[in-house]
Amino acid sequence: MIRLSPSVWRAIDLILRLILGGLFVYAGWSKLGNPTDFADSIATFQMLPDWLIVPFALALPPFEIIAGALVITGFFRRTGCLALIVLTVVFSIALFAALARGISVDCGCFGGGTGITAAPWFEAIRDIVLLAIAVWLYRYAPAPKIELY
Amino acid sequence: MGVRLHDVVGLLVIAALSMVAGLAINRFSSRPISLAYRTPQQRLSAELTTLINAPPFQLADLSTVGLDEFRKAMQDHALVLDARGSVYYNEGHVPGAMNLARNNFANDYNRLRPTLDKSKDQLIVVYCSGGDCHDSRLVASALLSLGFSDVKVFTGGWTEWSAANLPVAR
Repeated sequence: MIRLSPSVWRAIDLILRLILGGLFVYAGWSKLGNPTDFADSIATFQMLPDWLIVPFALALPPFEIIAGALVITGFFRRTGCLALIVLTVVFSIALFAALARGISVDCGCFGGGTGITAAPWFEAIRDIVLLAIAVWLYRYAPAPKIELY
Repeated sequence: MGVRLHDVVGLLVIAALSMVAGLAINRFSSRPISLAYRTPQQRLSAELTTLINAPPFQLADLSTVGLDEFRKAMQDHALVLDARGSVYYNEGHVPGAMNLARNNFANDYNRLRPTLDKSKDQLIVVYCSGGDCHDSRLVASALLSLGFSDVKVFTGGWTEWSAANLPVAR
């Protein structure tokens, strides 16, 4: 690993946690008020059986908010990171499966539900970057503040 | 990468909490949704039956117009309808367009009734966000089944209109 002082590592760690956790809290919050549109977005992926679409649309926003909050606060941070890793992997699989099958999807990531499909490659890259950050935060926690030199 | 068991247990706890929270939020929301999923077409169809004498609804074969034809139709005083939700309509729409939202069809239809009833045999053009949006097709089909004779879809929709730097009404 690169040699940086623990305070620099703690700062990087905090910034990454704010970006990753903040993004998911925002994403969850923006979908919370409109489960109908989000269910329609999920349906465009043609992956879930009909009976699972609405429960998934209802549970996912709170899941994103809780996991994001754990990552930001650092309270059970590894559990929160693992939850976000699972989420980004699931999103990526859904996205790539849709791309491979040539279905046009509405990601619905941040509410939306307008039928406009953002550039899929942008969503793919975003998923990969988020996954990398989540894996990093899961594996490496900076040294605690009370470290002696 | 060495996932620890208690993190997995924590993950399952978060998932269970989220399911409970999601169901509870929906149960106590002002507009709870049914747990059985219905497609936009099925929902619009159900809403149509709440309108007086609404016939059974089917997705029709619709004629479409491009941007040039759309602008010409506007000059010829065609009735322009925006099928997107009111949030998007209020952020910006084609000047003169009225909001007949797919997701609020029966309400909007009743509100626009005075204007719509005068346009039964006039050209009506419907648009939504563009790209792969289906709302304009659904609304146009519903209008055909309600007895409007000349309904077309502007497929480029809001995306093409705003990309062409044409006037925007708010």
